Amino acid sequence: MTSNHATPTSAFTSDAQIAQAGLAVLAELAASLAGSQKALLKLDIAAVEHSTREQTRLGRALSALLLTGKRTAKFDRQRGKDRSLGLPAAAPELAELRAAANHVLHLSRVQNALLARAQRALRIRTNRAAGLGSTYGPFTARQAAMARWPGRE
Amino acid sequence: MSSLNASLATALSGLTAAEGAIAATTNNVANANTPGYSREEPVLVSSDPVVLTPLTYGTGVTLQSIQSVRDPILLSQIQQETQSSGQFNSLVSALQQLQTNFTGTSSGIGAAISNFFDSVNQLSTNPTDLSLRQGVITAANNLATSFNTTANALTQQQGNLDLSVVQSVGQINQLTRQIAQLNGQISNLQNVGENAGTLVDQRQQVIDQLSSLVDVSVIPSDNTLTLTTANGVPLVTGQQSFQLTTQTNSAGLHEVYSQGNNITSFITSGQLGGTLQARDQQIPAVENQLDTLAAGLANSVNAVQVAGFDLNGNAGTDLFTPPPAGGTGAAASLSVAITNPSLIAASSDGTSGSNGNAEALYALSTQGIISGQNPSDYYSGIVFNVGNATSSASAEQTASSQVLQQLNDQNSTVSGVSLNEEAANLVQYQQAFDASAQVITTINDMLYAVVNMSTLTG
Repeated sequence: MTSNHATPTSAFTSDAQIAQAGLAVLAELAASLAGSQKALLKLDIAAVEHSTREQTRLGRALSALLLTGKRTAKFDRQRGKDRSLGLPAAAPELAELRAAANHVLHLSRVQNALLARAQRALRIRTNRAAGLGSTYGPFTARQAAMARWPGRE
Repeated sequence: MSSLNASLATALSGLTAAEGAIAATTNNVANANTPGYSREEPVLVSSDPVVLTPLTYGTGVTLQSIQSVRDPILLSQIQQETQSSGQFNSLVSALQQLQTNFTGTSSGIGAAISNFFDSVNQLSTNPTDLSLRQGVITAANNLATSFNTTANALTQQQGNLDLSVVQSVGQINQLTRQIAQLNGQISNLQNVGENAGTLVDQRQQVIDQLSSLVDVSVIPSDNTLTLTTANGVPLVTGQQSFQLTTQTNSAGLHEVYSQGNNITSFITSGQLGGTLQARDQQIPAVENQLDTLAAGLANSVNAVQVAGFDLNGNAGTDLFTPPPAGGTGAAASLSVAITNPSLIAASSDGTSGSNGNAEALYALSTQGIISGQNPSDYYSGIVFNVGNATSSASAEQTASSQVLQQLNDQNSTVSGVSLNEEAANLVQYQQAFDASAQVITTINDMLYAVVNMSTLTG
């Protein structure tokens, strides 16, 4: 089951199905993040935009699944069962889900760091294209230096 | 100039130019595997023509210079990313070491807190039992030792990072001296029109090494360059380098000085920046949280203890030695104030069978006594913060490494030597050389014919 043909969350009949669907979405999200990181390194803006749209869609699918899981968990708690996200606390799927979620979290952090660097690289190019001399130190230092020289800009 | 001798000179210029171009190609091939080498290109220009009205004659080719191929924007990006990489390498290394002191609630302080409250809970079931009372004192001692051990480990790690600061400053000074020296050599060569490509490559490599240590700005000027830290403190100006120094502050840690000014807080990148970040921000923040936890726990336990009565019916005394005012250093100095188990104030009314105060002590485990949180939750917060900081820095390190790899690959395509391309160039220059040589042979024959013609007519 992949989220490209996402099953409506109401159609899940068991906790294991929710877990499997969650794992599939997380795997797709990880693949999409890995793809957008490559695109970011190449400064391929079109590919980055495509990946971002895909990640938004997968994020929504994941939120819907989590909501279903939480509803199940609440119901289970009311029945006195120790469960998390609709799964027993010791379920192997839960450990797998946590590992996949941690992997996606790490990839998201890397993506965030790469975005900041891509932004900086573009700023350097803009800066350079403006043709303001040949200083190519950090942009902030450059701005500070420019501020000290009134009339230069 | 339309004479055979002029043609001979023109052919000779082609021969010389091809020879120079072949020398550049040969040097490229020889340095194909030399780290930091930038490939060289011969710059060929037409020699000035001679006008003999109504005709204009070319005078051949001049090998104007041999220049190294570099992309300054790419180099600046590499330099910046090298700084980030150095920063996050040292930060991740320090945070991973820090993380080993916070292993969750199964061991260390987390487990010691649980064990302490468990022992109090057990005492409340039989408050007159001396072995259970001894159990509380043992658990309190273990708790204090856990705090002491962790606090001391943090102090030791801070000390190690401080040594690293001094070492980095020494390395920076050595590198800036080298750059100033290379600046002089490059300047001397370029002033007389010589190719300083190899020395410029060497200088770039030293700048890269410096960038991995500290955040630097490179400001090129005529035949030389100036290096400053990101906030404008000069490190190298032309042939002069400005040495950084270290001085200890009131806490015994080294601060970095440049020409009498403390620049420690301005160093934010490079290995030194990462080390300073761990030494001056991350570790003190964790120490502060540990002190808050230790002081809050000790004060709360003491407050309940003095409100109760010991086994002899006397008013309770402090279980832990009172932490320092303000809490600073509480974790390192936490200790148990009593050794006699009968002094534990389990009773709330002075009778030996009362367990009211033991239950009150146990209730602290679920009360928001540390900044509104119970002790275990507060400790879990510290573990989470350390883990989160490590993960964030690790993600930055990964991103930095990927970007640096990408930039270095790009730089290789610009400045690296392609053996295929050099082989093609070699064939091209060889043919040019052969052609010029052939022209010279032909002119020689023609001159011979002219000389013989003169002999015949003479």
